[in-house]
Order: sequence, then structure tokens, then C-alpha cells
Amino acid sequence: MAIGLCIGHYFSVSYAFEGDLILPTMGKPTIEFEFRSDQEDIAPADVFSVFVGNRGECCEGKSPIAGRYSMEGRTITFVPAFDFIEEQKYTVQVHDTDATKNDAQSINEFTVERTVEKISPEIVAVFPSGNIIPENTLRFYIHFSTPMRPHVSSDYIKLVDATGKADTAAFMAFKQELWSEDRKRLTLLMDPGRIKRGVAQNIALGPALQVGSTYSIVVDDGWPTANRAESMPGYESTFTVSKALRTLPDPALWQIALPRNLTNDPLVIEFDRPFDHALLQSGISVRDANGRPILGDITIDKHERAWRFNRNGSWRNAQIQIAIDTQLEDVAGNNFIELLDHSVGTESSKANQNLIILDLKPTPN
Amino acid sequence: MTIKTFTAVATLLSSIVPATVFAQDSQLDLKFAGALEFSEAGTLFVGDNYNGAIYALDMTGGNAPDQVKPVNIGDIDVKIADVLGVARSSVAINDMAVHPVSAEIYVSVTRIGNFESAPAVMKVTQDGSIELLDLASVAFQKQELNHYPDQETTFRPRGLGKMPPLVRDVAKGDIKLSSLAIMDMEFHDNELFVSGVAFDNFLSTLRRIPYPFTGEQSAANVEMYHISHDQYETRAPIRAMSIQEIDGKAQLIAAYTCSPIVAIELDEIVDGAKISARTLMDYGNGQPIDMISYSLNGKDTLFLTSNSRSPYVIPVDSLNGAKAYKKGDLPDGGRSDLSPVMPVGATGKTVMFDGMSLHMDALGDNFFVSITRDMYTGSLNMDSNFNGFPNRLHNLIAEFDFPQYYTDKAK
Repeated sequence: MAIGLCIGHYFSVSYAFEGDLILPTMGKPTIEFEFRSDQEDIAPADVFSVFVGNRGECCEGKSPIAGRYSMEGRTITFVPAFDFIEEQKYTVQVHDTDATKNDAQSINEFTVERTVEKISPEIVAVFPSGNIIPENTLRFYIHFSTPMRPHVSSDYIKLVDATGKADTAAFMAFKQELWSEDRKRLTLLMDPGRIKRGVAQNIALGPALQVGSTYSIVVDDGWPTANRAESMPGYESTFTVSKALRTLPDPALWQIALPRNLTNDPLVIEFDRPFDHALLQSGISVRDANGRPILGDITIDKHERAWRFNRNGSWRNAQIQIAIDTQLEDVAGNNFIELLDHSVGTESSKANQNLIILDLKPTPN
Repeated sequence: MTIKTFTAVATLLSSIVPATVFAQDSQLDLKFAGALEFSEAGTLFVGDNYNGAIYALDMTGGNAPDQVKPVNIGDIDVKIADVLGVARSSVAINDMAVHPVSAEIYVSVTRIGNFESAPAVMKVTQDGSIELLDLASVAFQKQELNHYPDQETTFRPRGLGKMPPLVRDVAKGDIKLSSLAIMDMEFHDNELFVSGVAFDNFLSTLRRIPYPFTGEQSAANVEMYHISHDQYETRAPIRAMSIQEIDGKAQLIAAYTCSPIVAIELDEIVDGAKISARTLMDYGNGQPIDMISYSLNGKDTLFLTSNSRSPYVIPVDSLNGAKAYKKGDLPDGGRSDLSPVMPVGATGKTVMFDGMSLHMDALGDNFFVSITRDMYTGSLNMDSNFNGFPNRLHNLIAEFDFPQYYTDKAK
């Protein structure tokens, strides 16, 4: 395995072993030392050693890294027994075997840099992605390019109205922030107390989003990444608020573009409303006539109003089933069973799955 | 071109072994250096849980030191990491065994790299230097194991009673059963005995493999009555074992988690057998780590370490004529340490051990060498101590540590 991007310098050291030290470079995880000496019977391992750690920690009482030395002419090559570890500091100590100058040693530090390209922190997407969203929108998803430092989101993220006034009570404050496992997606939950009509927060503060008004999600600059190495620039995403979604989602209102059998056509569903971006990743599945899953890739577009499925290989089905999880929610948190904000005593739907059975069009020819 | 390796000794010694035993032509494909065991002559057996194989490395032919010296190395993990070119956190220590002739201490480790982990075997010499064994230049034999567990099945996490599992309990769900496939190895009379987990209705399995390897191997399922759980068990494997003469017969003495000690006659270990081990005692909850056979005051003795108890010392002759417990011999129901019937059939004694020994082995006739986690600093140290009292005293403050004790005594 190549050790990848390395910093390589040339050192000239003028001791008993005078010469050029070549530190690891791209694709070459070895250390070479070309020295000028008239001495005979040189044991290569006596000329230089490599240690873990920086110059300050070197090298009293430490064991050098295991590896093989070889010598050809006046060039000694050291091949470590294992590849150098990226971002670990190492020190090369060139020994002085001239007894008259036994304190003279050349110590050179090096680091093997990370092979993975550094990714600058930024917000890559915010969902809902549309610039018009309903008044009772329940969640926002903020997607970052790189893992972020947790427990500080409220210091940086604000909901700001058109006059620039921040609403500090718009998002639910939890002890635990809602991060994805890789800490690249933060879920912001609108305080449901502000959405649900007639509960205390709704009466005291009113809904956070008002129909017809314009708001921004503002992220101040300076938010550090998870490894604290960098921080985010500022970010702002503006949207206008439309009226609340207060009806159950209904697949009968969807437009479904069916693929033709024996083609690679995508299966496209256009919804009557935007759905929750995260739940859409798994909320709809495609099966064959016997209920066995058909595998493929899902794309979500038209601001979460369209779901596109490209199956692996071509369609070989006279009939397919589209299974919709009744827990799938629209952007306002309404699923197929009940509305997030419904009146007491409202009957909820009993279905636990919506299954749409469709016949595919015959082969084009 | 001249080449210096750190393992010139190993390379040199391999040449004196008959060429028929060791394969010189193929590359050593070791993926994991786990359990270690030496033959009397110095062949080093290395258990590889990833490849499902045991490798016999030729370390024979070393010279015995005039006198075996204790080896003491502070921060052994840091010093191994230095040689492997990584930080301490990138080294996992898997097992340790002492060469019976040279008294050099071999430590199997995993070096965790940027993209992959690599096995390594370290050698600690009598003068305390740490070297990497050059596996590429060692003569070896490989024995693949049959009925080997797949690399997918994992343990089922559980909480404690009604308490839900913690994050670290749930992590057990990521541990593969195959990681327990080679738990302990014992070399006896030209045969290697291996305990661990196998598949195809075996699970807790004892293997018996002639050495030099011929390809022949036996695997038998072991059932035993677990006193503290009050049930017969066939899945959890033997953690540590030793072969001793009990009641005039060669028997395998084995320790299980929570912590029955059972005996199995070697003649019972035949291919395909379902062995009923005889449960001789249960000294209490905990997970045994090492069972060391040594001579204490001229008597054959077993020294048993655990991850949760002080070491237990068992005189071998006390197991002669011991009662074998079966279900029904004791009142029904599981019982932990505090049950009035526990410990059951205990013949040995608990002894002091300061810190926790991760791995221990006999070093010559007089010492135990241990890789010990210090209770207070968390440091990991290699210590050698007299086997009659295998402790350091740095964490104890007793009467003898007061300067006045000596001045007053001198009066």
C-alpha cells in the first residue's frame, strides 16, 4: 500500500555522516540517506534510526521503529516493517559515529500527511429545500460537508424573520442534539408546542412561522468541525411560508409515471405535497408481484415533491407493487394514519401499509 | 547489498530444523496473531481467528540463559507501539507466552493502521529489549481448522436483569463468535489441544491436532454442568486449560466463565464425540484468563487468573478423587458468589494480586511474568515476580514503608 501524500524535504547534514536525507514521499514509504564517508565496514542500522514522536520526545530510552536497512554504494535505505501512520510525527536520528564529536547528531522530524483530501466545512443542503414551505413544517435537516462539533448548534443556528429579528424559541431544545451517526446531518425540530393549535406555547408565543411571511435559517460563521481543525463560514437560507398542511397524505392524489417492462425506465412518483426528506429514503419500496423487494437507487427531487426509482438492471415484471410505510411523514409530520395536529376524538386511519399494485406497460416493441 | 533485519536469529535457527517439517516455499499469510503456546522445544503456535488456522513457527534451537532473569518493563504497550511505529492506542495486545528454552517472552499484538490492521509478534529478550519478529523469514507449518465458525454470526447483547443494556453491552452485538474460535492452546506429548468455538452443532469444542501437522485433526463438543448457572452448557468455550495427571490418568483441567473447573480424560477427546466433562468445582463469578502450571514448594500447582477475581491457586493433587457435580446434587436455581453453597468443591486458595493481569505465564522455574494493568494509573506494565508471591508493592503502603519502623527496630 502506498502511503500517499507525504512531505519530502532534502536535508543536508554536516556531521561525520554527511549527506542527503530523503524522507518519505508520495508512493515511496522509505527513508534514504546518501552519505559521504571514507569509513569502511559501516553497519547501516548504526547510521540512522527512526522513532515515533516529535523531536522533543526523541530519543532517549526509546526503541526505534522496526524495519529493514539495506545499503547500496553509499546510499542506505530504510523500509519500515509497517507503513508509516498518517499524521503521526516521526523523528529520524542520524548518528555520529565519529568518537571525537559524540554529541553531534542530526534530528529530523517528519509527518506523513493524510491521503484523503481535506474537505472544507460548509452546509451542502437544507431540507425542506423549497423556497415556499407550509406554516406547520415540523423538521429542518441541515447537511454538512464534514462532521461537526456537537452541543453548540444553538450558539450558531437561528430562525430570523424579515426584519432580522431572531426567534430563540422556534426550535426544540434537547439535552441531546439530533445528529446522524456520522455527525454530518443535524435535525432541527420546530417546537411542536408552537405548531399545535391551542397548546400553551402556541397561545403564548404564536406559531413560529406565519403564513405569507419570509424567514431565514441563519448559521453564524465560526462553528468548529468535529476535529476542531476548521470552522464553518456563515450561511443563510431564506423561504416564504404558505398555509398549513392539515390533511392526511393520500396516494390517490399522486402522479405515478410507470416504467415500460424490459426497459431501464425510472419509476417516478410526484406527490401532492413535499415529504420529509430523511423518511423518504426508506418510506417507499418497490416489490415484484410476489412481494419480493426489487433493489435500486432512489433520487428525491422537485423539492421533496418527487421520488424517482432506478432499479438495478431492467424491469422484468408484468406487475409491480409499491409499498408505502404508513409512518412516512410529509414536511408537517402528518403520516398516513393521523395528522400531527388533529382535534381530540378524530378517527385515525387503521391501515398499517399502503400497497399500490400496478401493471407495467408492455415492451416498447 | 547488505541487509540487516531485526530477526537474524530466527532466520538463522530455522535452518537447523528438518526441511520436511516446515514449509519454506509458501508465504506466511497470518492475518491475526492471537493465542500463543510453545512446545517444550520452542515451536511457537499462533492462533489466527481470521484465517481459522494455527501456525507453528519454528523458534526452536535457542540457548538457555545461565540463569533466568526477571524482566520488568514499564509502559510495555508504549514500548511495543514505538517499535511498530504507532501510538499506544493503535496497539492491541492479544496474548503472551514464554519460550521454554531461551526464556524470551513472546507477545502477540494487533497493529491498527490507517486502513487495515496487521498482526505482529514481538519478542522481549532476557535483557529487556523489544524486537519485532520478522514473520517473512520464519519457517512455519499451517493447520487449517475444520468446523470453523463463519465470520458473520455475532453475540446477542443483553442487559443485566431488568436493567437495559448499556452502549458497551450492545457493542457485544458486533463481536463475532469466530473471535472465540481459538481460546487456549495446550501442547502435550506431540499433540496440540485447542479450545474454542466451532460450528455445525459443536460450539464449545476441544480440538486435538498431532504435531508436526499432518492435516489430521479431531473436534469434539464439550458439555459440562455449570454449577452457578445450574444448567448443562454446550456453547460457551473453555477459557483456559492445562493437562495434568489426575487419578492416575492424563486429564485436561479446564476453566470456564463464572467459573467452573472441569476435568476431561484425554482419551475422551475423539473426533465427533460429545464429551461430558466432570465438574469438580466452581470457585465463583468471573472470567478466567490464564491457567499456569508450575511447581510450588515441590508440588504441582495451577495458578488461575481472572478478569474479575484475584488469582486462584489449586494444588493439582487436591483434584484427585474429587466429586463430580451433576444437576440435582445441589439445591435448584442459579447461584452467584453470595449463595451459601458457593464456592463449591473449592480446593484452592485466593491469593493477592495488585492490579489486573491481562496475560501471565511462567518465566523459568521461579518467576511469573505478567502484563499487568495498574489500578491507579492505568499504565500497562510487564512485571516478573517470584511465583510464591507474584506482586509488586508500589501501590501498597504498610507498616514497613514508614522510616520510623526501621529506626525504632534498630534501637
